[in-house]
Amino acid sequence: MWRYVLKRLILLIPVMLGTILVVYFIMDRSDVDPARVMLGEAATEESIAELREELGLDDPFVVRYGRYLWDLIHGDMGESYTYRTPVFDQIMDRLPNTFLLAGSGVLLSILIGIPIGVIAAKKQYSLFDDVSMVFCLFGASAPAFWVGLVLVLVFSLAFPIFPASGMGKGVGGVLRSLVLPALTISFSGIATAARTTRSSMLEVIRQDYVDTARAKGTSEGKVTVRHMLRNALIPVITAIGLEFGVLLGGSVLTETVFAWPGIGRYVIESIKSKDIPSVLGCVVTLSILFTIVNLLVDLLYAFVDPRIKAQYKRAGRVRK
Amino acid sequence: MAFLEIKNLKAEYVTDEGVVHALNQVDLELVQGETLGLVGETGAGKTTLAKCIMGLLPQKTGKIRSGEIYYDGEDLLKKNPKEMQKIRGAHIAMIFQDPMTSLNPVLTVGEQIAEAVENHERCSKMKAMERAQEMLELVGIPAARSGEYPHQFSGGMKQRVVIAMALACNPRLLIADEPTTALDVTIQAQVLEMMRELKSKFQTSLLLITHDLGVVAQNCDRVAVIYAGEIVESGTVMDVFKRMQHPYTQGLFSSIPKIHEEVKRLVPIPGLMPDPTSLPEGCKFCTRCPHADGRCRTEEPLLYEISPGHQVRCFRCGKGRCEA
Repeated sequence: MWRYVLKRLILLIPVMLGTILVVYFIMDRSDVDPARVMLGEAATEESIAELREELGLDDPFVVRYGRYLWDLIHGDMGESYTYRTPVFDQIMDRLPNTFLLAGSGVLLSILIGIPIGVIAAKKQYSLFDDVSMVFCLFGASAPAFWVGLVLVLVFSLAFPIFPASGMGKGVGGVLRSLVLPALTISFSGIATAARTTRSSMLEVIRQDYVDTARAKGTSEGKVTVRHMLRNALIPVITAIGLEFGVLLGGSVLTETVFAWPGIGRYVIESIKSKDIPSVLGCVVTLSILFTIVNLLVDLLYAFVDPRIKAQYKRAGRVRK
Repeated sequence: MAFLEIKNLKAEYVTDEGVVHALNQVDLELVQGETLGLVGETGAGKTTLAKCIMGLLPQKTGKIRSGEIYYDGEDLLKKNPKEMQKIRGAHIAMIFQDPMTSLNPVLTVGEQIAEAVENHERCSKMKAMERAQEMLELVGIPAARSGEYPHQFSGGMKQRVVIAMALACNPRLLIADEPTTALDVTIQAQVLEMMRELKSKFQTSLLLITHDLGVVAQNCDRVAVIYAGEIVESGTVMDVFKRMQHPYTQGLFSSIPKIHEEVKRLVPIPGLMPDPTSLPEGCKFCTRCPHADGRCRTEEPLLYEISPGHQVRCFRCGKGRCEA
């Protein structure tokens, strides 16, 4: 099993190299001249040429890419043009906030979405089933910025319970300001989790082993959780894992609407101010996180389904 | 004395395509310690009957229209879900047809057997697991394998696990729904042999559902033949195998090869079993019966007792018309 994990981690390296190459290439092709951005509009051609020379911007692409990689390995993502501080520090400042937001979004999806899905499946074609599925369709199709604005209108303006934007101070303040963005971000997650759980439960619900469990006198609640839900969980984990990965990088809209100091907002700011090292740093960080989350999801399967664990063990075995 | 008595049981499935009359007239008795074989072709209502006894008919579609199922003098159909839950597993246990699908793939076999014990006995998880391991040893699986998952066992082994699970709480009645159909012949014999041993060891009664007459002959004390949701003939194995009276039973036996006679061609029963959504009036077998006359098509025959314990649902066996 551990051998398999190691294999997967090693495989991450070429994936990361490829991702960074693509991102670096795209940023390189943009018509932004970093020297001009750094020196401002008033700079002379000579001073710009001088700075380009100094930054090594005139070197061939491969050399610059190699240099970026070398620095990256040492934890150096360059210096932000706007803040004049290392990009790495900027990202590390914001990453916990993004994690907090994405994490609470996923937590809400799990805590609300899965029970809705389970009940809807057990009471298929009932009123609850119909209502919750309509809600899910709505949740999956409502755009985050719109949901965010509606929540602000209701809970910040009409009934000022939660702050409309920013991040509060202290644990209580943070939690209070977290409520609205987390709800916004989890809206589609709840819908996805509920729909996946429902359809996956419906497949499991008529399996023979469910009747076997009932036949030995197991209570319906235990049958539902232990025998149905555990078997129905794999697709749900996939859906929620993907959702978490997307939320890490894709909470751009929500973070912008609520002025949440996370990575998503930092990317937008950096793009606006043509701050290339920051954009690059953010995209690289997010893609690393995304691949790691995917790996974790794959590993989580093994804990839910012993058959997958057996597969992993086989895949990890060294061929002789 | 019969401890399980089914009287006049009628059950149906209400579906969008119509009402499926799965059980129309079932009367059965089971005496402590005996093995009753329930024989019939696919769709005759064998599994439905088993699910009625267990109280496991599908909630939405399955409906019991009338009848009683007495267990120890109490009507199981009048019990609430909580009471039935206590009976299932502890008093009446069931083995399902396909061992490949009747075990939960994500729990170890030990956990699954221990769950049956935990459901009915106040004991610690450790004790339940110990009992599960004992049961595994009883069915011929080393206790050390209790931590393995169903996918690590072969079909025959899985059926052993299922049997261990069913017997874990020492039930008085075991319902085995085609327990060997999904297994190959050599394994069938092993599993049946083992069930016979365990049955006498635990003094369990057995309701053995099958379509295999050979299995019945080897294992059962009494046989009931079911056709289109009705018991058409019942009696001891001798009665039914040697002195069968119902034309359907006779048809069944003439459609299996006999080892002592050289037969070029088997004689199947002509026609198909009637569609359970629109059963014929009168005798359910009249459409395929070589002896059917006008009365058979309009009037439903009763179960006539032609000798003590041997009952046949056919007018020809009614008063004075029985042929020897």
